[in-house]
Amino acid sequence: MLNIALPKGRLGDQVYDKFQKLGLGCSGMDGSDRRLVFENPEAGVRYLLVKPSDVAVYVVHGAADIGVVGKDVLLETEPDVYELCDLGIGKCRIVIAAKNGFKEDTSVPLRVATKYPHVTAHYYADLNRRIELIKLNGSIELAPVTGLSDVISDIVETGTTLKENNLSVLETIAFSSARLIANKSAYQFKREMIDGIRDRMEQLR
Amino acid sequence: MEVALLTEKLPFFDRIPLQLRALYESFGYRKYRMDKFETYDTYRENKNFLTGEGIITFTGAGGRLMALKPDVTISIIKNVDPEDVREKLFYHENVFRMKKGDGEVREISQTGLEYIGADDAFSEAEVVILAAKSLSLLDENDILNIGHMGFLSGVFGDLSEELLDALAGKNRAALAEICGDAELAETLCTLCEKPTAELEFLKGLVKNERTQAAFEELKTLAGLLCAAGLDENIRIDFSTVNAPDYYNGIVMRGYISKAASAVLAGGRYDSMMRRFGKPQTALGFAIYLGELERVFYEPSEFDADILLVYGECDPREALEKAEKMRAQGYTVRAEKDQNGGVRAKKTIVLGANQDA
Repeated sequence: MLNIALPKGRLGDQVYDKFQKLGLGCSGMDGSDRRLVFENPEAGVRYLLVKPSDVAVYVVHGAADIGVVGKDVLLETEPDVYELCDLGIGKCRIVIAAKNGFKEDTSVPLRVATKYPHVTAHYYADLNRRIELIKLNGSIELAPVTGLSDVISDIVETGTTLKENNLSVLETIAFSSARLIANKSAYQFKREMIDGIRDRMEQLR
Repeated sequence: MEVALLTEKLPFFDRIPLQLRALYESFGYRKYRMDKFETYDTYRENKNFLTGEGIITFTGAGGRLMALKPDVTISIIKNVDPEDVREKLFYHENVFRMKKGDGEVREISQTGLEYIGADDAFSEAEVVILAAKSLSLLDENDILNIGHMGFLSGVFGDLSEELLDALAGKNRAALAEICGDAELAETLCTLCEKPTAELEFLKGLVKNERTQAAFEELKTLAGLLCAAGLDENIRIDFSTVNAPDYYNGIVMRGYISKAASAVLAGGRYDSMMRRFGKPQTALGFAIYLGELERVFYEPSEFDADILLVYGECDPREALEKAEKMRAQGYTVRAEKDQNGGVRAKKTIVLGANQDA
């Protein structure tokens, strides 16, 4: 049995579509069923629906053999896993954004609100720029609007949310998309099945 | 006799260090015992060797900064006599590390083996065979991956951190971008074969003296492993990498199906020996037993085979009875009464003329 961790939500639905195309579908997963575990014994797969940022945690600890997770999460948490392929969906960027017309004052530390403290700290350390990090868990766009921070470092797909909050992109830090990852130990013992999924996923692209 | 009986009764996890010790001693390796502390200076310049984890320090007498031992290999290297041609050692020690990020302090039980002066095909095969046998003791489903840092240096020249990360993560796309060769990236990420002696799949990557030498070394090793009948559980896999400042030849990583992360790691660390000014070559590995405690946890149903309740009985008689039962191979727990909540297969109440 191969345990697969998928992110709950829109990306998870897209990813599940792909698994379904490989003939690894599972009854009940497409509808209103609110269970978090779905199993297809004939195909030998079990899906675990978890919070997107927790997918890698399940995989690292072996509770899931493989999983699908955004590159943004991989960059932030640097889990010790195999990153087998780019699924080419869930594309987005991690950017630095600020209020329209923002002018940076380099004589003081820059206050940066973000969900990605590790990636952000790394980016500014490379620039030798002193910052104050403010870790938020959501509605990051609110931070510059309310004066909580000077800029934000956040994920952007189309940029609509930024625009609606009168923010604009200053810099792109990283590109992200959904990646297929595998637990390093599980991969040794379920190699054929995992490589099979990877190869067919690549063909689907 | 009595000790043998007790050892058999030990839970699997507690038997592991004893079995590993027996294995290493059967190859003539000597046990190495060390102190828990070391001066911090020993580690300061070799922090990267410790896979990025923090060291726990304290101030010793005279204001010297001391460290709780985060690693055993470095101490062994430090104490190697440069005049000694060969040393075969093993150890079973607890090491102390501070986890990156949350700073959690951990005590890790580690068993390892070092072959100082391992410089020929035989010695390399011996250490790899011992690594493979150690894994098999832990779990019947085990895989030992072997890579070669010298081969990678030959292919790429300088090994940057990004390059090693991409290799370790089997990340084709990232590797292709770094080395600008999609085909090479694909080969190195998929490469994983049982070491059939010819290693055909590697030939295409042999381009210069370094890769040629590493290729020959791997081929010889593979041939010896096949001859030893161990090739089933061994793979040549270039996602097996380790810090190139320290490791310059073969590198190993071992997995068992019961554990989610690698339980064995090691390789040839001649470069590390040079850093400490030692002329010898060296090869070794460590097994992280601490991580396995949970994996092999077996809740025991009983505290003892027999609960002997002696009550107001003559103590001499009670001691004698208990000893007699132990001599028959039972574990016996003696208590004054039955109120202690002791779980036993059988309860014997002395002086009551009956077995409950």
